[in-house]
Amino acid sequence: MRSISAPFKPPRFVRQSQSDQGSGEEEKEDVEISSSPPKSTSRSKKTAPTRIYAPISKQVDSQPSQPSQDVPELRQVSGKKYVVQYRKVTNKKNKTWDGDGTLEISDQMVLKIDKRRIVRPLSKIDGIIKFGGFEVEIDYEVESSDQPTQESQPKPLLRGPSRAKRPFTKLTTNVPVSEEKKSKQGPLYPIEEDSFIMKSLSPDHKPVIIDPSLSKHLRPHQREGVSFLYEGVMGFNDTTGVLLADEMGLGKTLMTITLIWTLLKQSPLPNVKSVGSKVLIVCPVTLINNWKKEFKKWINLNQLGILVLDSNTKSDLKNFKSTRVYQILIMSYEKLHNCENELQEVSFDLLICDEGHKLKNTNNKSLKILKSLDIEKKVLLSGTPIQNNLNEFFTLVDFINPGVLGSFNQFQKNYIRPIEQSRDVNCYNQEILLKGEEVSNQLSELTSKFILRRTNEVLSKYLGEKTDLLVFVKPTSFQLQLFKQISSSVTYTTENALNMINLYKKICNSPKLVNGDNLFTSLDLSMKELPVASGKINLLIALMIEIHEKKEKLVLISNYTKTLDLFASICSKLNYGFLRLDGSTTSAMRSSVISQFNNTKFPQFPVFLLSSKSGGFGINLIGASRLILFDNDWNPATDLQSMSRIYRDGQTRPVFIYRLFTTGCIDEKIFQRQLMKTNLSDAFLDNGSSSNVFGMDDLKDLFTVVDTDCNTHDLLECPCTGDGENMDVIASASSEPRSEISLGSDWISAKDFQETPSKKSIQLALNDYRHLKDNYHDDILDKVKKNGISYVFTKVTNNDNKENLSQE
Amino acid sequence: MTQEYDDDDAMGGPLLIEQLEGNGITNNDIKKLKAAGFNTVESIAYTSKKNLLLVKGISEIKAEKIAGEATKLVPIGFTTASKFHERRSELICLTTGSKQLDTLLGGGIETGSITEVFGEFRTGKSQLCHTLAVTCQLPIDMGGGEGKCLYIDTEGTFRPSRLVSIAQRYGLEPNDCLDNVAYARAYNAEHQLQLLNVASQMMVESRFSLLIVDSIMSLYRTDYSGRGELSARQMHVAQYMRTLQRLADEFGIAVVITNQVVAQVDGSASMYNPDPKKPIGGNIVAHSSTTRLSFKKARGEQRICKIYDSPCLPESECVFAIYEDGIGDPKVEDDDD
Repeated sequence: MRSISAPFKPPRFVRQSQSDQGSGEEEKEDVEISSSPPKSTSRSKKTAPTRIYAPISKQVDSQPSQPSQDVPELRQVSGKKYVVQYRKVTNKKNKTWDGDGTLEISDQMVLKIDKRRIVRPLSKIDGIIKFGGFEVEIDYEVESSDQPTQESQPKPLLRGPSRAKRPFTKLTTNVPVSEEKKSKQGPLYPIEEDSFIMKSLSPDHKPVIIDPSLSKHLRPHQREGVSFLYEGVMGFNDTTGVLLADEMGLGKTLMTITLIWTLLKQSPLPNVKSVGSKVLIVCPVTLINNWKKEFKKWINLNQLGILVLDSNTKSDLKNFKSTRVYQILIMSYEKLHNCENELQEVSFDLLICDEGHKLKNTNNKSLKILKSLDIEKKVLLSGTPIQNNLNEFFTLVDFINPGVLGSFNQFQKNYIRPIEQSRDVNCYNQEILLKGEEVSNQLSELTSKFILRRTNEVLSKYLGEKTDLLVFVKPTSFQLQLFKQISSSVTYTTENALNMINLYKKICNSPKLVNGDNLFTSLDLSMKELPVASGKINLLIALMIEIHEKKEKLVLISNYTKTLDLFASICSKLNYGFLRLDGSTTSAMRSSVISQFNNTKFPQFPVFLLSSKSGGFGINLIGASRLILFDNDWNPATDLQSMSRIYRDGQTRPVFIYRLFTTGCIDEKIFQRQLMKTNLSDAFLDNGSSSNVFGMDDLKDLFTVVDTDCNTHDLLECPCTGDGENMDVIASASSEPRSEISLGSDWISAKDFQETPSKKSIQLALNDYRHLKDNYHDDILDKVKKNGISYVFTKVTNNDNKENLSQE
Repeated sequence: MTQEYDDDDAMGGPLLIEQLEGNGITNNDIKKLKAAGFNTVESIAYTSKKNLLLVKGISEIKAEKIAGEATKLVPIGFTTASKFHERRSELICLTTGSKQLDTLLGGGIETGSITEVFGEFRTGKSQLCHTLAVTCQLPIDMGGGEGKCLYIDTEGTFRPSRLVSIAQRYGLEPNDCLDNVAYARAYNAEHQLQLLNVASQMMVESRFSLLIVDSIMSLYRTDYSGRGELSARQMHVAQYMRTLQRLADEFGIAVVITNQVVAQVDGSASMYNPDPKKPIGGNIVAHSSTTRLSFKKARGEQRICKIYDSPCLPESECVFAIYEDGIGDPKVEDDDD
């Protein structure tokens, strides 16, 4: 218990005092140092209230020998001298004193006022004494030799500081100056062995230490990422924008939150409290709640104000600008358009763009608005930064670091053309190839200062076993018949190609889906009844039952909501509870649906239906350990995103990912294109001329139905017999030159493209997969293989981590 | 610690009255002034000469001299609006614990001015006081004032255990927090005023950031009765409000007072508001509080705060809620997990 008037001592934060003993000692020391002066003050304070009510004479402690409280006997007072107040005799109601004088008592009383001297015989000196025309009251006694004007106390009593808020002035001067300075510029958190300290640009700067409560959660690669972000935005490399292109699941959000928290609370500059005070986070609508949740998870929200823009945008923004209640503003890219003007008025210190590839088009309105906000420090997050071509790459880089790549024309001349030329499939000119390689090396070196990309491999330590299963299913005879009828009645033109593709994809999923398809109805094939059953559906049901037997949760993903409807009816037939997330799910509902799924144990909601279009990004479904990707998208990135929903940080069980393809049909063809494309984007730079990829022949090929066990395997011209052994090993051989070039992780030589692109790249992408025709080495698949499985590719990653993880 | 006081220096705390010593002002004079509740040079500069003369043992000549010295040290002249604007933009605001309420108030409870909170019983007035008693100790960048809290309780509703749970919410050491709250129970109107004199003494000695009076009128309501004593009561209330304002000016602290309500029986009942209430204390309290907030009960733990009077805030309202850990934002359903 401390005295009521003890100086203010900032209450300790519980977490700090518990975590570090070092600071505890420091504090103790502090208390010790400060203990002496407060004691003295507290003693004087204890008397303080009494002093107020006690007679004034009592307080004159400079004269402790004088017993002055009682009316002195006349004899005793003789020879004494008093300071008095006087006034002229008046009849006023509220009397005040006119001035001060002295009263000397010897054998008579002498009143001195300025130079006047009034004498009267002795009398009692308590109360008011009359001196001719004056009234006098005794104030206090002085030493007879003293002049009242000299009476002021010498300085020692003034020991207290001049400023009330600094009761310890005396003390701080005792502390050596250097130390005092140090403490002023000291870091926010005590430096300890495992402290995570940022690099500093200049020796004058104070160290910036990441909040220990955050840094203890950071994994090595995340620490590296945080340092990279910090150095990037603080201008260590003369740039203030960073592109964090880590693959999903590496904790981009946590790294960003750590950065934001550090910048909001600390600054390397002495005497500056923080680098920034306002942060703008822009992300897709679906992720807004995710961001809010992550902040809540890592940081005590009482220490941070987060504003999420929803309904009354304008007044919210005004409040955000004018008060210090909120530091962080989270909004969607779409919302940017509504409140451009209001945003202009806020001066943000840091901009975070989540899923930054949304800004890839130069003409994107969001991009223009964000540019006009002129926020110096920018962080772009994107798991898949380059989706199509180098132009987009330029747009992104030029946005985060304007001018660093020069003008677009320069960039096009210097980089885009040489690289594209060298990547052209038909290019065999050695010179151009070399040039392209050189230029792309240059480019990646130039951008390596502000682009950080790591792949999921760094995470593999923390994740368990993952089995990828590519399952090829024979189409049903009805499906085959349907294909035949359609192909005989339609001629391929570029106009109807897209509709055709959709129609074929629908049939692959389930013939029932073609109901209502425009193209199909126009064909007027007079089908009476379209069955639900398809090769994939049949297998799916079998799989679902088997997985349910295993008591594991399952995520079902499709591109089409109609397919999801089908799944829903299957689930209810099987009597499985399910949750569903698609485009129609409101953003408020999303997070509750997800948490409902993740936080319930198996028998509740064993199935989650997810639309890959609306829910592919950023969603965490680690409650499930099995995932079935029912159909595939043209964009391999979309599929990759979808598939990584369950294989994320926090997943404790072995993960199985099933991708279903209808053998020899469009499903498989799209998959083959994907494999080629993935390879391209693995190379970070895509072949710009997409027209190459799609010729008329290709189109025709898409719609051909091949009768085989596995068209992909045929393409590989793999000599194996499908028993999982003796696979063609060219793939691994060709991966060696890749590592030699070793620019970051995934660059491949343009030379690889010289050879027949399809076979080669498919081979590359399917490297490590086991080709299985009959025996699938997987208990579930083996059980359901009667349901039309014709071929399976499997790949197991991380099987050695299984034990580590279970130990943890 | 050192750092804090250095920071304070930049902010400029009040000048101790000892500064005035010299130039014919004696140590004894200083003591007299202190005994009368003048502890800072500001308090002298802000007070009227008439009040100085009321101090025992201060004559007219002395009073003039003291006031003259004080005005030399404390700038009380004109300043430009732009400078004042700059100063106001750096104003510290104490967080109420609810972001929405903070936003409504333009950042929180303003320091250096009086905020009055009134409403029926169970509308959260005392709960707000309890929360503020903890948040005022937080670091400034967390929405606190880095100072102690002085709590004058006239209704006997102060519960330290509430402070403990609020401190835990902010991750503060509960005992440290309790140590930083100076609590006094006022037993009559005179006592209530006397406590303020002691308060100013304490504020000189250590840093305070908040003064709470919960509630301001309850003792007056009973100590003075009827029309006959109304004028005496109002004069006393005015005196009290003036002292509060002086403390706010002198020490830059936030002053929060709560007020009771009275039913408005004479007409003005409308369809929308069948049982209108108005705060007591009449025009005196109404004029002297800078910001007036009206609290109303809503569904469950939710409460509605309406700005009743403010020099700069528009008339608007917001919803906050009372929880175990103090005032907070109403919980949204999807926040639950």
